[in-house]
Amino acid sequence: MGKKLGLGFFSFASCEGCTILAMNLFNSRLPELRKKLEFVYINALQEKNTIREMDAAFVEGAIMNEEGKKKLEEIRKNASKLVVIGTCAAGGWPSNQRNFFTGEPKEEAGKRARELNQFEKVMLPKDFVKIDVTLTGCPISLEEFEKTLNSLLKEFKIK
Amino acid sequence: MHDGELTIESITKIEGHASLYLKAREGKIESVQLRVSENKRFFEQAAMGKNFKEIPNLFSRICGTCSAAHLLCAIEAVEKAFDFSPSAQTIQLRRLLMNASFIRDHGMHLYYFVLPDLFKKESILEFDGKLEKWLHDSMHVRDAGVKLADLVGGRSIHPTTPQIGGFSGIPEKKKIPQVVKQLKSERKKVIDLIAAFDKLEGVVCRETSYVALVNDSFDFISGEIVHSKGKCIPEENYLQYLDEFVIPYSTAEGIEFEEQAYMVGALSRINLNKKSLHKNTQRDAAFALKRFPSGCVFDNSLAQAIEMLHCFDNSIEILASANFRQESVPAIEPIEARGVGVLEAPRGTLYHGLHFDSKGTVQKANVIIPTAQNALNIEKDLKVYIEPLLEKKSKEEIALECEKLVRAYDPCMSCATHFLKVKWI
Repeated sequence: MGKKLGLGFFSFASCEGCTILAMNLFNSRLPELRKKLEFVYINALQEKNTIREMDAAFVEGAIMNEEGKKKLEEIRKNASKLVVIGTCAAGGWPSNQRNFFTGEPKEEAGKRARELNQFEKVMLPKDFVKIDVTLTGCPISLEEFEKTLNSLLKEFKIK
Repeated sequence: MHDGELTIESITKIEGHASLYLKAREGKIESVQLRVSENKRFFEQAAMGKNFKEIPNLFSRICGTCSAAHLLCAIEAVEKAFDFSPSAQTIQLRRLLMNASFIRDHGMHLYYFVLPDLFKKESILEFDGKLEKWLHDSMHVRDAGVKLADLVGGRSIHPTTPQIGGFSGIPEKKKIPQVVKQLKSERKKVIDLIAAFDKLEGVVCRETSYVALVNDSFDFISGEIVHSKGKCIPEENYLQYLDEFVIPYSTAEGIEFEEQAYMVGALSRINLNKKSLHKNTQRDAAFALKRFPSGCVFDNSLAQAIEMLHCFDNSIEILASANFRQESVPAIEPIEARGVGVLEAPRGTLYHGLHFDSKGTVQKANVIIPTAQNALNIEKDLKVYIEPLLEKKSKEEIALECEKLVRAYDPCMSCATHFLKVKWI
């Protein structure tokens, strides 16, 4: 069996719509893709998921706490390429909406965020680690995702 | 595992992130806690001060996979507040969009999350030999849902065409026969799925209550809120019956109905209203429908499979006789009012309550999602299901059984963490 492309899918603070959308690609290409891809980490699909060396990590969502930051840094250390997917991860909205609250909502959200050990401000993956590819959109476009996946297959010489 | 503590850090094959903590002593379960660990995104607070026109697209973002339900629920809340009744065509298009979302979403849960348990595989990616059929079925059936969503909603996640007052676009005429053809040809695969889940024997039966929006066409968007013990509530009165409480160990909230645990979702809907399913579904799923009403939570999967068939049949019927025309989307004048949207999302009854001032600015927003309603029931079922297994099974086996039971509820953790409660119990 030839080399497979090692992939991880990770979601932080988000609606997970981008990951769900990416999985729509399976509807047309699953038999082929499961021969070419090795899922190192994909919570929605398999029981055993550990962060270990992988060719590419797809990261959805904004970063809200220390635990998320550490996990993201661990992903970065292990992934040759890090792709952020969706507006939450690329620009923050709407997961970072509490950063812009004023008055009562700001007080309420701030209090609860502190109780949950969330950061004072919601942060982006790029605030902590180097990003190789950014796919924006809420949700991302499936065509863009497919293009990125195809170019990764090519780059890592997966046939 | 006679005594001890068990923690499942990350329950897999569910929508979002949750962990489970269980403590046993002398063969009894002392404590069971389903802990939602998603990050809070404060949608109810974000709605405050926003114009009514912004709310549907904002609330759609509470959850990607449930986005059509959140979008349509918020639209309904706005329309009810401002006393607007949508056209017959708009109602048909909304039904189609909900059907599409049920096919896609139940399809994800059943093929990707539950079937691997049924066939004792870790993942659908491992399905080979005879099981490969299910891999192919999952693709074709889910794709039919995606194509239907694209046709009606513009796209399957965060649809673009539904508006307050109507639709900004209608299904493209030449694409309708293609989608009907696809639905007709994949329909048989859903019957196979029903047959597969019909072979499962029910194991957890604990008396509980079931709540769903009930109507005579099984359409997910209209009707009255019915409780299995006989109560029937108009949509706008929901807050008189539902009590929200904070779960101290979780980032999600729990809901009780008149201070009692209850269940929402496919099992509730089929238990309360199977007579209203499409006639073709009643005919072709008759063998499985005999099992309902059922008190076994694992039958939620069978109920979902039956609902998928209903969504195929209802959509084929609507599309085959449709003659959609582009209707203008009327401008809606805001008034100071409260509006309530209630619909059946794939995972159960969804409530959006919105208060507006005379300019249509949100003064207060309240969102109650299915997983919060099921939270207490999940914990109660876990206790009943796991306690007899404590003597017989290892910690690892018990962890697996816990995950299977949580998965049967099809919880959605993205939805569960949209909002904020500051009072702790």
